[in-house]
Amino acid sequence: MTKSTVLEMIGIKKEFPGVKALDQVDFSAQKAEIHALVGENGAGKSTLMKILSGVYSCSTYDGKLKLYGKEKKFYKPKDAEEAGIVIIHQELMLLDELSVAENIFLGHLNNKCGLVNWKTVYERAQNILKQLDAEIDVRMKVKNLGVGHKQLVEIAKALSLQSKILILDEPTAALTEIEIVHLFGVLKELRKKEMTLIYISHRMAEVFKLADRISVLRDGRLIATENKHGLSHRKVVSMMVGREICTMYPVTRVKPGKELLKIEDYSLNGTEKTAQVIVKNANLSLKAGEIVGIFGLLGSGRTELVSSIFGAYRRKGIGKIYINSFPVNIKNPKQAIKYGLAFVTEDRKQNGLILNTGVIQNISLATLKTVSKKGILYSQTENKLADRQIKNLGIKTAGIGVNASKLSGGNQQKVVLGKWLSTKPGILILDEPTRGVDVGAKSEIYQIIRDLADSGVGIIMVSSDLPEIIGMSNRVYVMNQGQIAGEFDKADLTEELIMQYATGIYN
Amino acid sequence: MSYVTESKEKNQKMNSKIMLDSLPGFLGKNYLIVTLVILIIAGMILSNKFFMTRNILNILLQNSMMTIISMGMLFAIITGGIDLSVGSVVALSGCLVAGFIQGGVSTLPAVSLVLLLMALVGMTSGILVSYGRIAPFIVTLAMMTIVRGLAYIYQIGADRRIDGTALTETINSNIGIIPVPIIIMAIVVILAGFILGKTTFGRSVYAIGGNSETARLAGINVNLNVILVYIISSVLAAISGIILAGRLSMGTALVGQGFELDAIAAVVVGGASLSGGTGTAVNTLMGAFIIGILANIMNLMGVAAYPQMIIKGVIIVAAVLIKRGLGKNE
Repeated sequence: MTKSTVLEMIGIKKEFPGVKALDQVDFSAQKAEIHALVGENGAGKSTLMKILSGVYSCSTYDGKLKLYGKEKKFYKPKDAEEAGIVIIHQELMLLDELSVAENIFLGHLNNKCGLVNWKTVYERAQNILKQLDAEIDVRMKVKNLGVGHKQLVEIAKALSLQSKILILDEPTAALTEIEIVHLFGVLKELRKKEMTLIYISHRMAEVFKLADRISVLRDGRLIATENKHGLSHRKVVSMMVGREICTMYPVTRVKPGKELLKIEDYSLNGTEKTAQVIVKNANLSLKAGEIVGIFGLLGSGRTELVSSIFGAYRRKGIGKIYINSFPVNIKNPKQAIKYGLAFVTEDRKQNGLILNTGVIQNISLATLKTVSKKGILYSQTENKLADRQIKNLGIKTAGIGVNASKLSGGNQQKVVLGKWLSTKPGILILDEPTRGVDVGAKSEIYQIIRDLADSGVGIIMVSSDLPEIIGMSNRVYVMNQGQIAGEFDKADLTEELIMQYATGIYN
Repeated sequence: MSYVTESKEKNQKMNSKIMLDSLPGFLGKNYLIVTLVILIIAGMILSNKFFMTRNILNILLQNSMMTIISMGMLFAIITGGIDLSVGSVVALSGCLVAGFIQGGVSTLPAVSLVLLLMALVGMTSGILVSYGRIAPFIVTLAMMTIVRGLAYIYQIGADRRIDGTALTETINSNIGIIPVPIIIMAIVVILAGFILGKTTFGRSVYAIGGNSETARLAGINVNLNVILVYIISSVLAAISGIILAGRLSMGTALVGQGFELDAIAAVVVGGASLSGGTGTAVNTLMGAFIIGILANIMNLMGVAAYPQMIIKGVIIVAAVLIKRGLGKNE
């Protein structure tokens, strides 16, 4: 009755500078099972899978990894691949300009003296795709495929390697309903062929539809591995979040004032290719002095919603936006800034900072007008501005001219905050304001945000960090698959409740 | 009181520290000046003619046009772009100004009209790069052949002579002992330095090259600024073309071949990165003159033209390697 154990990870311990990512994790998977791995962002899921797939060399962590009872050491991804373990990342790793067949056999095209027999390559690719019930032209370039088909090509690639263990990281995040149904069919087929599938997902409904067993990670520890039938949605969610909220969140001293921002019936359409709706009929309001949290898991449309309010999203939204009760039509960030909006983006390195430029230039970037007259910069005014922000926000830097790239994550984030606070915004949008920030700087940033709100600024805080959103917000909107699934006042907030709405249990 | 003495001690410590391990740092920051000084000393040792006033003015005059073009190229390169059309713009603007003057237009209107037309060329490139979202390399490569073609068509076979006209006279005259093109170069370099270092526009140019998405989110009109940059590049190339027409006393479509590459070389030797966000007018000036002085020394020593080309190539690669090597010490 008991299936044979294929994989065992015993006592896995992995530390990053200052953070214990995994602590004594024991994880095992069996032959012919779909094993779901769930947990909050930062719980350690991807770290564990990176260890399993050889991305982190065995010299960088403690613990044992056994395959079929034999201990294995992976120094690089290739080692894991040769042992039959393949990971399919959330961001697909295909080469757009190559054909489907070339992608499937990338790195192991069989050839004679450097010459490829394309006929057999195409035939073999066709055969593998047939197993996946996928009708894809193997000669077509990958860039012409939709996300769903690309995913199947990734799976075909894994099959071509004769892999025994397949890890899928959030495979459905970018798929449409029909594609998801097809993918699930494929995964169940693979299970019949005695493969082991490790399935990482946030979506509770999918996990329960698909998995045989479920493992829950929280704060780097494995909380439980149990058979699906012994579990309920609620129980899994409570295992995911079950911890105390600590006291790092400052309390508000003021009552919300007049309404600053109102959004009515706001929608964002995706590209024609995916035919997905990114945001659907969102309604949202923000008052002065209020911190409004937006919680959503990956792919929920949270970032797209706020960046389109700021005029920064590549497609225009449909719906009404009011600022101070006036209808506005914001076409670009420049106009948004004029309306008193500021937007601290999710990824400070990608689009928050100019890394190879000084702290001072980064701080003054959004307010060049106020540090200049008739287009000529006044370095004294600019220096004063930078000094003031460095002092007020407690930015630790060796000088105002130091390149932003040299600062720590927390200080970089404060520089971005300083840039936007220099514009004296009425409405501040924060997207994941404490991602990649150490605990000390985190609580400083929380204090800064609360002080701003108390001074009358309206703040929208997008976050996928549950304790943060509960600790900071006056009100929370929970998004699920492009829709605002629920709105809660601070008094009603619990981690379980938010997670239930975010994972779509109540959808 | 105690704070003051403490900080004094700190200062002293820091000073001695600077004395001890700042040589690589000093070199890293000032390697261009150091290279220039070494070249000048080498020139003085290798040839007794080198440090004569006439030779120095000669170096300045010979490199004035390339320096002016390089300033425009610098703007394009700071935004992370490139302008390959400058050599062709030199040719077309020379042809046009000579043609206008032949046609009886007086000097100032002729020059203004040519600058305006070349601004349109730059604007076209800029629009294609910004709104058209085509790579600057491709846009300006196309513009390079289009403009060169226009120059040949306008020239209609024969060179357009403008001997003895006001333009020729002005360009070939001196103010004091200094030839006019050197003065124009000085003005252009100072203006470029001022715009890049001291204006909001200059700051936006660096920001766009550093991270155009960050710049856009900070409310900078990226497209408009990119268009302005290509206009500047074209207009500066046109100024060079007009100077060249004045010096040659004619407009000809044959000139300016490969100027774009020499200008890129000057900017790169001046320490700017082709990926954008860095570079200054002063450094580009020094980059242009490192190449120029080296050529002058080799001319004085009687090195033939083809070996000079090889040495120039080696210098370009060496400049980048030296910068990277010294940069590590910073």
